[in-house]
Amino acid sequence: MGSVRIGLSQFFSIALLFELGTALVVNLGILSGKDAWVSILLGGLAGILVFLGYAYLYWKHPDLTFTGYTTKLLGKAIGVPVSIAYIVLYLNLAARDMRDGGTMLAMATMHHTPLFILSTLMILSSAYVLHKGIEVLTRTSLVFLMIVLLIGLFSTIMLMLSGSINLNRLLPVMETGIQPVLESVVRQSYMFPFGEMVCFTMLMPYLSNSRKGPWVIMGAMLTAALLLAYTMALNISVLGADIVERSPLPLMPAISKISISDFIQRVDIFVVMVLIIGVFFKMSVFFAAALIGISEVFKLPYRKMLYPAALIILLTSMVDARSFIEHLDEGGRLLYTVYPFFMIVVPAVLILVTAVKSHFSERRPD
Amino acid sequence: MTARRDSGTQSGAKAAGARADGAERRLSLDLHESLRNIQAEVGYSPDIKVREIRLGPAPGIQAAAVHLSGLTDAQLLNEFVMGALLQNAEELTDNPVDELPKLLLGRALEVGEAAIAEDWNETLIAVLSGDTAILLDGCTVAIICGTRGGEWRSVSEPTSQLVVRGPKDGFVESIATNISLVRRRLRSPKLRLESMKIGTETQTTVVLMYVKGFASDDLVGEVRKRLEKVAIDEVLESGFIEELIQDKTITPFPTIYNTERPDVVVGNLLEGRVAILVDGTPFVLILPAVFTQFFQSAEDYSQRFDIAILMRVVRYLSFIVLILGPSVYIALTTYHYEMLPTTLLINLLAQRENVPFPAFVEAMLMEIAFEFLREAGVRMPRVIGQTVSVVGALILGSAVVEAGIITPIMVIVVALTGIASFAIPAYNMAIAGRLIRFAFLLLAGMFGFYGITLGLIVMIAHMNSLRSFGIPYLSPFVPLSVRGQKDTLLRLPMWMMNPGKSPQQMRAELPKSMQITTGHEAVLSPAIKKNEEMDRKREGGNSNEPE
Amino acid sequence: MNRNRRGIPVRRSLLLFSALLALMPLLTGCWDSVELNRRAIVSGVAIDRGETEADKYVLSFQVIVSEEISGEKARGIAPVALYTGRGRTMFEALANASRQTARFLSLGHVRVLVISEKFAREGIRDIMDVLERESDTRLTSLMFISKGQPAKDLMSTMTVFSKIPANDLVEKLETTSKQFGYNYRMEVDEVIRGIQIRGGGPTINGVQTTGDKENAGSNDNLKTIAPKAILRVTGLAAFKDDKLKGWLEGETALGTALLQNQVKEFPSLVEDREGGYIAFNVYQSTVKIAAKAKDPEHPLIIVNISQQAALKEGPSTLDYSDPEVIEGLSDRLTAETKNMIQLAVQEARRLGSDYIGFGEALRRENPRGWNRVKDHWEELFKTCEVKINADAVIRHTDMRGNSFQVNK
Repeated sequence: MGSVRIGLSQFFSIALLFELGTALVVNLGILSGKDAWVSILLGGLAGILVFLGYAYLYWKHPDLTFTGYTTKLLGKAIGVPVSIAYIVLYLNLAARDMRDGGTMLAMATMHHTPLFILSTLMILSSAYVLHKGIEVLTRTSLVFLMIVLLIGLFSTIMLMLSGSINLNRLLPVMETGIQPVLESVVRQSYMFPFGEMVCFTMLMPYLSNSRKGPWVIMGAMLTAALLLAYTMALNISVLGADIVERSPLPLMPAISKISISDFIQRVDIFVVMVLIIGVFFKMSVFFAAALIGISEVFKLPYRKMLYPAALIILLTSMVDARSFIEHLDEGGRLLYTVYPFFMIVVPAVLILVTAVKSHFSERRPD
Repeated sequence: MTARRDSGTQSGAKAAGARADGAERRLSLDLHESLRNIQAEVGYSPDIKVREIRLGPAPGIQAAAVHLSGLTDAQLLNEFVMGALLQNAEELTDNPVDELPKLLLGRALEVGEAAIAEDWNETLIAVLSGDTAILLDGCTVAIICGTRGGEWRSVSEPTSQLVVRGPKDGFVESIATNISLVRRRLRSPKLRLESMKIGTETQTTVVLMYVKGFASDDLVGEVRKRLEKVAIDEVLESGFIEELIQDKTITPFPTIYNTERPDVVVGNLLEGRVAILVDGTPFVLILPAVFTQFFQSAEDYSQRFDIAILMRVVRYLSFIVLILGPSVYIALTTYHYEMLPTTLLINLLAQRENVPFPAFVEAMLMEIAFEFLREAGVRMPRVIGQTVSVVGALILGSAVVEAGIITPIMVIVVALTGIASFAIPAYNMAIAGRLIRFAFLLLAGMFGFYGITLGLIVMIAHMNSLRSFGIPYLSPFVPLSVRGQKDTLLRLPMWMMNPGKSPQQMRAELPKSMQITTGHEAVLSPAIKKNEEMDRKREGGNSNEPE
Repeated sequence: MNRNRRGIPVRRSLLLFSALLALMPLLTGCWDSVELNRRAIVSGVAIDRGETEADKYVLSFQVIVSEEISGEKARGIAPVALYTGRGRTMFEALANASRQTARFLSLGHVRVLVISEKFAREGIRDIMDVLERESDTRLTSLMFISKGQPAKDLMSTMTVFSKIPANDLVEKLETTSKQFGYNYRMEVDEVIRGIQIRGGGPTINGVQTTGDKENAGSNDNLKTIAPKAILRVTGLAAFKDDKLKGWLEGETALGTALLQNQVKEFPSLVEDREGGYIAFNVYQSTVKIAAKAKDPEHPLIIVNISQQAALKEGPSTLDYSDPEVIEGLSDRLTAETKNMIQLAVQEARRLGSDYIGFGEALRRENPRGWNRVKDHWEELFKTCEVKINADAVIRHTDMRGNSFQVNK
């Protein structure tokens, strides 16, 4: 696998699709009410700053994955447990994502299909794609990014033609000051979905251009922030902040407002498609990150652990929570408590160690 | 007119020398023993003809010409081999027997292609290929005269990949003719041919064709390597080889293109691809082949580019309809009925009243019935084929609807997918689509759009995992290459497609006096005047350049 | 690399996939798949207030009998059937109604929701929650309030132009909203947003049947040239929060619709000096509501309205070729519009509900100020100053200049 090199356009598309993932359909940053889009933009910028840290680590160790340089920097005794913790994190994130997607799907259209069947189908597809390799995953993402963007374009045009967009619903911007916006940035949008980019530290060694690569990914993050903010603004301008706030999948009712002379109507199935695509790629990236980690830490062939890991994800997602409310609540708490540790604290320590080391090693030749 | 030349004889014989027989066998010194051996080897086949002659003044040297009747060009054999031998060889018989073959070759034989074979197998293969072997008593070598010929189907319009506008000749079963068809279109010294024999029993001539400097050496080397690796008893069609040299076998998608059209082969050769011609089949393999290639038709380049783009878009659409048509219908009606317009829904609902089958079963039945019809229509003798389609399409279709077994809308959907499958220019891609259609039907029946979406992801991932001789199957879409888009979904005008040349160099430009203008722009606008002056200067500059 | 890929995992994955594939056909037909002919498509729902709390919700579902509408085997029965269920909650009522039908009641195509006036006066909050929450129903369903009669009656009136009464209602609304009417599309989410407006409420179209209500539900209704009973879209029901407060009719309703920017085209009459009327077709009308609120306790609401009109009926001896005459007429048109808007504002103040959206304007202008006044906005709304700037242009006089009456 080591010889695989993945092109920049593919990295851009997988990063963008990863970011859009589930975030596109949920009420992201809604803690700040109708200013959710501002909060997303700020969150995106914060996320890019955090990612700069990951990029720094990558530039210093262009051939190593996150687990690789963790072990190298912190030594085996600390590095291996930390790496394993990350693998567990990725598996957990993949499982949570799948639970998200499955439940949303059940809420939206598949009311009677058992969650287990939906999840099994999803994880099997994902395993198949990853079996073909990470390159195949990134390439496939390019195609589906196009599809998602086309659906977005179509929906926007249709909403305009239906006359459902009322920009007044976005006004006034920040009526209660910037306080709630910042709060929602801290509580939600910089971690989800932008902080989750930490898993790209596992994939970046595959970049075909190590100098430009991280910048391309940051470009994808910026694009994602813009698209997400745009989507959220669209939702609010169609439905009003109040309804959006109360909908777990606001994009769906927003799109269902499309009605062109009763011929094109209820196209919310497109949202379901976007949801499936988003969940699939997001979960697959986490899955891939976990697999790479496993194969590195335990020195196992990548494909050998594919199906066991798939099983773990499947089961974790099933026993994760009894209800979606519990699941979301848990997610919210993790977002606020556990994830920052993995996404900020540990990388920060690593950056510090790297900086100190390179500082000293640069001194010596003088 | 059948062609006689086969530039491949020489190296072909070499390949045959490596047969699994083991030790090299030589011809016997005794002519009769040699003849007996040959007869025995082919089992005293009645079509092997031995003509014994004596060369030179009596007693002369005993010689024999061995050939297979039917495979040789009789005129060639009679006039230029036998006739020449009997007339010209007289003065040569004074020389020692050992030198005779060379002398005969050099001075007697009037046939254009001849060589000396020292190996037994080589001789035998040559005879079995339609050449004539001349054996001399007391000599362990044979003279092989290229007399291949015999009856072949003459060049006619291809039966697949038809065009409204474009060349109407198609390949035939004779490889020599096929090569000539390509050569006639591509008079470039850079056209390279490499011949080999594949098939331990059939000894089929396979020719690798490429244009030096256009096709990358790596590619040619890889193809050569894979062809040499092929170990198979029989090669009756290019499909035998296709399956053995493609990158991956478990996929419905074709990764090697085949065509009956020489113009397509030439076009592809000039795009840097490699063609493999197999004797005995009019289908020529072209590789590497990517997905988009199967949606191109020779006609795209004969028609105006905007029209060609329209035709291409129609083909891609038809592929989407083919694989997703029935499944989307199933998903819409049984899962997402809210998406249908109300009036349409009422209409469908009324149709579905009293229909015994669930929509999924209905679709499955109709699709399978359609496959029956199609298969029957293809295999039937042409005269009956018409009847089959009339009975199937008209009578069966309407009867089934009238009896209330199948809903009319299902017949429409199935017919639409059927027609869509015929709109794809490459037959093998259409078959792939038809196969995948059933998978999607199943997914839609079970999971609605969820199944379809996941199916699409898996399908595209699968396509992404495919490579055709190292080229990603979905390129130039994935990996994305903007430059590659010139001739995929789009077909840009010719002057935009050729890299490195400006439009001015490629297009014929009308002289200024003939261009349509309103007549007084130059007076009105100083800018136009200035432009014109610059044009004139440029033209002057151009004319100085050597052509 | 290539060869390695063909190791055991491929076989195993193939095995897994094929096992799964083998399992799957057994499961087809379960879960969410519902054949179309197992569905009863509901085109409209009427929601009535039952007598007691135990059957508070009386839901009537208008189910389409598709065969009667487009099938070949029509039996000549009614094109729709009405099923009624009662219950303490909407869902219970739905379940009860569902038990009477042979098929699954499918709400995905509900185009019309009619709530009875009685219920509307009591409050529609609880109803809206279901309509919003249920994933099968659509947000684009049109809401109506049945004026002075049970909502069920409206679902059981045979109509001339569409076999499905609910569709007829939709088409009627669409026609009136495009031409000469003050009714406009009011969809579920708009009603919800209306309820959420502080100090205000939604306005919902009224609907009623006129004529012989006894036979409205049978084919006999249509056997005479003049239908005995007609479904009619009329009046706007003005709400405060989720409760119906009063009906707006005529110019008041038109003024309200103008303020909501929902009028596409309407006739406007100007009294001629010689007696009689001159009629204009106002084909474009744009309203902008702004607020000036340095001091949120004393806001000034500014209504800017600009209109374009064409002369439609001018039976008078006025000289229409004189720009000054036209100018004079457009001034009077302006006055007419102002009058309508004033009427609308007065009525809103009388009903004590800011369904016009002055509060929203204030909020956009001065969010902090709005926070201070929003709790007692009702009082401010009644007293705040309103300034109306109207501008009307008469673009043309249609196919003639002066009336032939001039040249007599």
